[in-house]
Amino acid sequence: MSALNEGSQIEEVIAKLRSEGFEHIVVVDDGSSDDTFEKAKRAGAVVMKHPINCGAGAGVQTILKLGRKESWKYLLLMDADGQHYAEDVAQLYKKMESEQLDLVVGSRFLKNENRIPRIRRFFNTLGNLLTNAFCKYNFSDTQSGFRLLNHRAIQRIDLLSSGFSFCSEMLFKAEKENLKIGEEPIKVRYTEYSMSKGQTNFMAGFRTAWQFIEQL
Amino acid sequence: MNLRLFQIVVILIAIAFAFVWVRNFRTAKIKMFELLVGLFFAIAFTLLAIFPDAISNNLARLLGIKSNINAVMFGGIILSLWLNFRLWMLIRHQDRRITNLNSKIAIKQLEEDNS
Repeated sequence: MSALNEGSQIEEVIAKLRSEGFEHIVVVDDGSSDDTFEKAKRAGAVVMKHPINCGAGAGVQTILKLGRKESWKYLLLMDADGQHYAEDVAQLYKKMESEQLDLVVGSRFLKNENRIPRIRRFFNTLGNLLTNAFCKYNFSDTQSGFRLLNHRAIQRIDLLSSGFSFCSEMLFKAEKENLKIGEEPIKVRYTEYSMSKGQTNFMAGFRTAWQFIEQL
Repeated sequence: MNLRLFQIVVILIAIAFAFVWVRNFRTAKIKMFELLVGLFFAIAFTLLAIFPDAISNNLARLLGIKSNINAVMFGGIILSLWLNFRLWMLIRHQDRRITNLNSKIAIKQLEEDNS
């Protein structure tokens, strides 16, 4: 998880993951000004700290670098704001194993019961349109932060985006590396807190789109 | 040749910039390529200040532009776009280096904590 000022949520998110049996939880504190680092450490995660804030993509880059260094077999990426459900990991893993995939993206839009706010739906549709224009496969949720990567994907995907455009860049690079990609429906919960995080306005969305185009 | 005040000012500014570039090169603050680009612009602006009509008219003819004023403005816009592009590339490069450094520091710190 890449986390920025998630002090109020991080302990709970880690506790839920631990209760699902995940022991090796890595958090990159991307230059938080609150107690995210201390709380994540206290909750039992392996915590790295960026001296300055560089963006969500920078956090994922650090996790991928550590994963390559330590030769991890699998890596699950998820948001640190409590938006995702730890119990969905099993489904992603099942999908990966049964279809011999290298990267499985948890799609919020393949599950009808998800109540996704209109503004998020709008930005995600724009993100999908832009990303799918440059990808071979037509993804239903290109901006999802819930992803499972296997060893091959960890080794081969080298990101450059430091912002939220890492989501699109990862899919683009995975296709370029001929990795097998799949999608699996996941549940999400949007709270007032999670709505205040991420890409919250049009300018942020525009910046993400521009960052993605820059990496092409 | 009668030089007007604005021409003298441009020449003095160009000489001052050339002097700074040479000094920065001698103290290894800039590379040879940057020095050459800087000197090229200093010389170009000096020549444009000394022979404004001749150079702008030739530039207009070369680009197929009717008026020499438009040609100078066009050249200015192109130059400004090029400088902007260079600046953007530089910022992008620095951004990547900072992100990379951030990652390395974070991983090194973790390794030190674990050892």
